[in-house]
Amino acid sequence: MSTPDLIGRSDDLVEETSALDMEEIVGRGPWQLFWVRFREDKVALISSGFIVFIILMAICAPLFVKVGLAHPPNAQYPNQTDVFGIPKGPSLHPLFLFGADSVGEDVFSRVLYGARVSLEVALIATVIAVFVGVIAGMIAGFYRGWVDTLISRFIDVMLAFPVLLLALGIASACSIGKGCLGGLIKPGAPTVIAVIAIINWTYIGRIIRGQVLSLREKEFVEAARASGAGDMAILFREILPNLVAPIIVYATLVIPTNILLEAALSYLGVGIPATQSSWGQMIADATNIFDTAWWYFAFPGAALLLTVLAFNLLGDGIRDALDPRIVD
Amino acid sequence: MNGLTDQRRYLGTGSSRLVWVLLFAALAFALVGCGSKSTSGNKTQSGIGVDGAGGQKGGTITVLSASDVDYIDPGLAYYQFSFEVLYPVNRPLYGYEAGSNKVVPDLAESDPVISDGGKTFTVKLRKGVRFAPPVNREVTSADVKYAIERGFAQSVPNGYTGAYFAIIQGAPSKAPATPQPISGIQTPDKYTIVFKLTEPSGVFTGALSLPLTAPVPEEYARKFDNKKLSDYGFNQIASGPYMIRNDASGKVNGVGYIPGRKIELVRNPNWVAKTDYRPAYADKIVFSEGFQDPSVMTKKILGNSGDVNGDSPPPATELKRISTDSNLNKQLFFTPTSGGRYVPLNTQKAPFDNVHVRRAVAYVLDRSSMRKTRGGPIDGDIATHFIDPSFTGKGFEDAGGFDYNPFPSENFMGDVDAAKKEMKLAGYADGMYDNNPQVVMVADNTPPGSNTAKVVANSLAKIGMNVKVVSVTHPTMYTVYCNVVAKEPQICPNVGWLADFQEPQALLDATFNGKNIIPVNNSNWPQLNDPKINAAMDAAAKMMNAKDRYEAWGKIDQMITETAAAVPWIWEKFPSLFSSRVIPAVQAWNGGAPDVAFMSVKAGK
Repeated sequence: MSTPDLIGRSDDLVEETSALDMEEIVGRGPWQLFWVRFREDKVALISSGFIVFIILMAICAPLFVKVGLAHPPNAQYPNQTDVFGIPKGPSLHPLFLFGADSVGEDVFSRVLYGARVSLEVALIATVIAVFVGVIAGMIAGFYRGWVDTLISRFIDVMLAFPVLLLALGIASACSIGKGCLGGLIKPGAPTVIAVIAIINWTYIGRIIRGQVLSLREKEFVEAARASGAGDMAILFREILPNLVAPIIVYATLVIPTNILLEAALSYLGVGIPATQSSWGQMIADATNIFDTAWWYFAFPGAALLLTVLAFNLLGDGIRDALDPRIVD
Repeated sequence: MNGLTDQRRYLGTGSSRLVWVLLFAALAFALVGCGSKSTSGNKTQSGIGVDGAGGQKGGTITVLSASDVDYIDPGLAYYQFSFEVLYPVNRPLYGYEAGSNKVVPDLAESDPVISDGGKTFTVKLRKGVRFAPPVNREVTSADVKYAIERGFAQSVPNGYTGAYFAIIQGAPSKAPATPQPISGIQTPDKYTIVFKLTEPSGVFTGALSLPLTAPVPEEYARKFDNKKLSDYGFNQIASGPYMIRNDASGKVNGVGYIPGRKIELVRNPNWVAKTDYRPAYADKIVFSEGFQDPSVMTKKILGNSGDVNGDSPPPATELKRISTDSNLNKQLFFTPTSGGRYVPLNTQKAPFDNVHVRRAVAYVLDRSSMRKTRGGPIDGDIATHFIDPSFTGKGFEDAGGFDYNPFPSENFMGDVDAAKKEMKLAGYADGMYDNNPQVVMVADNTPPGSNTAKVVANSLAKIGMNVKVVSVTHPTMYTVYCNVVAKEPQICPNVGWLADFQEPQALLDATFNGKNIIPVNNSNWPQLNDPKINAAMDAAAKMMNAKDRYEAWGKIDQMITETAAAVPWIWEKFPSLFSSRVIPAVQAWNGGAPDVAFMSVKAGK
């Protein structure tokens, strides 16, 4: 009696095992695995939705102006300030959705255009910082020795600077005349981008160096070397693909930092010039009249808060989804 | 933040103003009584503010300011806030009562005796005026002579000796490294000083009210003045009712003066009340600096933890709230300033080396919106030329009067069409600047200056001029950029000028005469150097007859305005907010800055 049972059970087992085998054979690439994990993270999904939304708003800013929902960002409407020069609040007639600022500009329009500046500066600065950081980190980690010492110590020196003071110094120095380095870094947004990139590449450089130090000892690197691959081939074909995950995670997390840094520089008056709209600058201007013109403070403040929060949550979500150690 | 206007001051010129003074006194009484302020329309009531009458001795007054003095040395100071601090501790030959433009003898005993056709000025000094510790001795005419001589030295780079004192016989044309005797300043006895001039000067009496004429003891100051840059300011000896608190050696720096933080005035123990016209009610005065946020400053004053705004006005939102509150508006006073704000265009740099481009700017600027950035009409009248209506004088009206406006526009909001016509005359085909080298503007980084700059930039965009705005603090704007010829940008939208004393020459000479362009500490911001205008100014300066002089300056005012080297936009009134615990007083002659030598703490406060 017991035997058939046993046979039956073992059949079941066999069947189950082969079903499992079948599933594994269908298989998932690392990106599919990432997506499976990521789409279960509601917070990250909402965040990426918001980021797409804000990017679309930024891209479509001129469209809003064209259809009449917003006014040109630098157009001043003297009627939107009272006789004391105090701005008027949000209204539908005339259409100032977020009210006006102290020179009668449309706050809604300036928040939209401010998003352009914020995102543009943050994204470009991040790309530059990541690029420089990855190259420097890979070289340092791969070659070790005096090259590593040189790069790592330089990074240490850079990290020892108080970030905001360094940024203030460079931004002030580059914001007059033709800019710095013989006109290479032009005043305005390019200066802010350069400043942020100069400060932030060190963090990623250090992380990448650590990763490369361990990757270069792996068997696949030895195999590649044994088959005659040169340094460049090993660095870019073998090691770099394995760095994609930390690069993406780090880049997503450094974007909000960069947005905040741009806002801080603009707030302190050394960032985006006054003729361009920027959230940090709007908040700085608004602090003088926040008790009578809440809208001037609230809307750019909310835009900055939500954007930074969204990027941070998205970054967390990506890290969770990419890092297998956190998966159950 | 920032300030009042910015640099210098004025005086009332004596006799013919008596009627006005009486009328103003009545007005001032009315202002104090009902607590509300004048609005526009009272064009003639300049130079009069609250005078502190009815005070009593004792107490501490705290003045709040955003920034520090430009220089603490009375021979170097050339800034409204600096004069506000330094007049109570110094005794120039002449001074002013609170709330008045009328010049009164200070260290001098009486008006100067003018002889030799306006080329010799003889001044008698008061007896019994003594220096503060550690010098302690009596002030003599030699101390005044030395004080003026040091203003010509490289070690004491004074900003106005060239404008008013260079006509003294024997004054060096090239600054010596250290103070050297000047033969035209003579001291026949301890209490007499004689100035021999190379040419008649109608304004020399006014110049003798500047702080350069405050006595400096040579035997003590020489060692500081012989350095490359004198640090006498950090070790100064007071002659007025107050002194900056010092140590036994006389050092004030780090004792009563912490740069950028505070200036502490205490009583000068050697001051004798009967030799002075100032009541000096308070025992102690603290200038507390660093209130960069005018809202915070205002709230502190309304909460009685500060007594008055020292260098920057309350923000427009607060002015609106306070002036419409029937209780609070008793604490707010507007004093007309003698001078105003304008936008200088650097005539030495393209595109503003072309008069038509400058005129285009004069047409296109939206002066109404610019004024709104400082609070609208309560802040003053829109300026259309430089000599403001406080300069009453028959001669000036003969020259064309105050309504002169060569660049009119509807409601002062700018005339784009007229501007484009000027641009076409300048050779810009479609009247637009467009794709030409970028114009740089150095502006304040905080409101209201930053907003004014935005309005200027916006107006210029209407003629295709996309301005690059460099934002810095107000003092940096002056000392690093706009006052330095080599680093001056094309536009400095946040400068202003107060007449040193109430003579048109004091308003126009330092600021528009080509001979006054100096590499640093320059005040001729447009760097205007027009031989015809220079010659007219030099001729007008020699006129001893007030009416002729005013008429000549009235014409010069129009000549300058027509060059559009600078675009005037406001004849300002300065709002002073006093705490409810003090009796207010202002230096009407100093653009309405608080006069701490006349202010007092109310009984029981």
